[in-house]
Amino acid sequence: MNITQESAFRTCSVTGLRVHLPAQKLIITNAVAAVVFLLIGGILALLIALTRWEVVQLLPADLYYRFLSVHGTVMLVFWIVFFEVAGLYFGGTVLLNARLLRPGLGWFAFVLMLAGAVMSTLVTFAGGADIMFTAYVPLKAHPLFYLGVILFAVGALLAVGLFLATVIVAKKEKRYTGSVPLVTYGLIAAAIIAVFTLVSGAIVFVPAFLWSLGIISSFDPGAYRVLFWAFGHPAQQINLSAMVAVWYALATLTTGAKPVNEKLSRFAFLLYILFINLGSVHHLMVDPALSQANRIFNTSYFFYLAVLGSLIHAYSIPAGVEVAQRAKGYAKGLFQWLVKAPWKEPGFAALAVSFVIFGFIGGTSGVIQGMQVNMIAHNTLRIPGHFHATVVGGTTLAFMGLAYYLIPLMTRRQLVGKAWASAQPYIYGVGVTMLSLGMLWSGILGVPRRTYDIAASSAGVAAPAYAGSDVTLAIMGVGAVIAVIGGAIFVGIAVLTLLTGKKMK
Amino acid sequence: MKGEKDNKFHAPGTLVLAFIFLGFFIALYFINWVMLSGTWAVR
Amino acid sequence: MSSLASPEKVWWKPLCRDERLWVAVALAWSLFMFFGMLGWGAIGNQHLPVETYRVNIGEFRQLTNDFNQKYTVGTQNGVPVVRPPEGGDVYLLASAWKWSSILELKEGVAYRIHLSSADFQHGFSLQPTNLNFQILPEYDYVVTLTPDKAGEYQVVCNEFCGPGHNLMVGKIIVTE
Ligand code: HEM
Ligand SMILES: [Cu+2]
Ligand SMILES: [Cu+2]
Repeated sequence: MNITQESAFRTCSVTGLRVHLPAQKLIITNAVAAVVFLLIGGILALLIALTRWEVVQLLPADLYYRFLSVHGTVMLVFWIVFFEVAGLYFGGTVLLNARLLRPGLGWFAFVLMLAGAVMSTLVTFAGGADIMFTAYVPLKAHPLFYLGVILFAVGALLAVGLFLATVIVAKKEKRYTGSVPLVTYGLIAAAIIAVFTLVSGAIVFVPAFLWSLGIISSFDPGAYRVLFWAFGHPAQQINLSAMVAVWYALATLTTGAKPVNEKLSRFAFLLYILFINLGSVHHLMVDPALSQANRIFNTSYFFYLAVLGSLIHAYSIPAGVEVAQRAKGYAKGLFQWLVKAPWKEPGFAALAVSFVIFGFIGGTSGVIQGMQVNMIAHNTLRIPGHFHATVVGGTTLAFMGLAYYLIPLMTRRQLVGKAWASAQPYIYGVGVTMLSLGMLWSGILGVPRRTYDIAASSAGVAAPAYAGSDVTLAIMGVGAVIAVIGGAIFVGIAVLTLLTGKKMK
Repeated sequence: MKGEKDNKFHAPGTLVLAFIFLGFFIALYFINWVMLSGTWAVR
Repeated sequence: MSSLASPEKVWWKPLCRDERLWVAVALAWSLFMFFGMLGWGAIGNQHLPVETYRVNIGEFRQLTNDFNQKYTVGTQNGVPVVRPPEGGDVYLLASAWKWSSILELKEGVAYRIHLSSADFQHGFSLQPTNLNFQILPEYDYVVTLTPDKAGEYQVVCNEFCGPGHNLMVGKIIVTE
């Protein structure tokens, strides 16, 4: 079958979008892989959170460190990136009315990613990489751990390349006229950042792999940290850019919002591409060996112009919703548009909750903790407190919201349990908010991250008291339970829809 | 030139929300610097 | 037109009044934060430490041993308690999973504390005052600290450094 043929397309009866069938299969498959990893990571999340909650201390020390290592990789890399690949294929084909250029390459990329992900997950579960996802040298993992990450990164790089090629060919084939949609534009920004990220990943993990095999005799720990964070943080900027694109999409899907100003929104994405990766240096604020100028200039993302990009989106997205709502007649006073917003629509709930958690907790704490303030935050629980608000409350929740539309659209099945889906973003949001605030607050009290038991010590020196941490860690623990319940509801809806959802015409 | 080409829209509520957010951000910013200044001198 | 469809042909439009206001204020805040970071260097008392030397592990261990031998004033549970001269250089070696000494410092005096590791990466986390630095093997990171109040402080390792990581707690005693 010639995949360019019209027969390879179907037209969605609800949205009128034209869907390229080979792309559809890849989108579903990548999304399913994503959800499976989310499920694994979520179960581990509960176990490690209930271990950090000092009075519960569920796991023994070795399992805590092992599961923490798996949780970090599986969530931050596998769940997020598999879903992003699904999102890229969607934005590059369905939104552009286009075909996926080389589905075969897409499957090859998927197999590489899956093989890599399974390999490094199994190795870590088997105890071959109890060294956290950062794998700071000279802590050493089993070679297959590094190899797994490399395979995954190569696969992801191929997927990103396929997306970019698809967009370029769609333009050539005149599948759409004028500029790409804003959401696709945001995804292109994410893809460009992804290229930088994944290449950096190769630059750090390939020598680490060789070092673990004994082919290279040493790996400078300072150099490793620079290279690792040229991969580790830009990976979060992919998430940021993709999440903002998803926010725009959800605003349109649930309220009919249009971008109030295409120019300004696109300019904001451009600021991301240009400057945001500089910020990775905030991981090295209290490392040896960097100059003062380097630290201050880079951590500021070039005079905070990347933050300006985020502040622009923070205005443009609600403004689009407000304009759309006012046009529907909800024009009374300052906030009737907001009060009358579709709060029961899962996508809107996810958008609103994700937007607020990301902005108020994740974004602010991230920017501020990247300054000299880092000296009172580095490696305390403040750090996971910050990024659970960005990448969990923000990105993950936004992706869940999109999935409530993507899954029915792609599988032609009705969403199972719409009422559950409407409540899910709030449950998850409350959980993640408590989780994050509990962690942030514990960190302010000095409680370290990645530490099994803060009351233990050896050599007869008493551990610090961390006065008040019993309360803050309890907030974290209760929040974790609620968040995991919210996550389980999402996984349940996704799986049931896929397997038992009523077929749509 | 202004006029019909100008990108006019009416979203006063959003502007208020945006400034509330900025105020929150600024408050957190200064609280954190005050926290930092309470610790030992470092160089 | 929506965020999911191609925009109309010409989307290059000037900003409206509200947008101009918001972008101007947001830009001002961004620049303020940047100069705030520079400014803290001039007005604040907490500077990001930058002084660093390359060192090999044996060399630093030697420096630490010499330092301990010269200034040890006692032991607690087998760990030497070391009282360095006021304002002098201090050598603290982190290794899995212990600190090379318990330090006795004087309030209000600046000490140059050399941090390095004999094996993995470690973290120097001074509690309860809460100051945190990264420690790498083969790097001598000099952090100049001035204790501001007498009392007992803990030095917690807050970089994961293997299974005994959470047991790695040391001490600094600050005297008047
Ligand atoms: C129900 C949701 C979740 C809960 C309750 C949860 C809980 C936790 C806890 C308790 C820690 C350990 C902190 C420490 O001891 O240092 C942690 C670490 C982490 N989590 Fe989550 N998490 C959740 C979801 C996620 C998601 C969705 C992601 C990524 C997209 C994520 C990424 C991470 C990462 C990267 C770490 C750091 C691992 C490390 O320090 O090496 N988490 N999480
Ligand atoms: Cu340590
Ligand atoms: Cu440690």
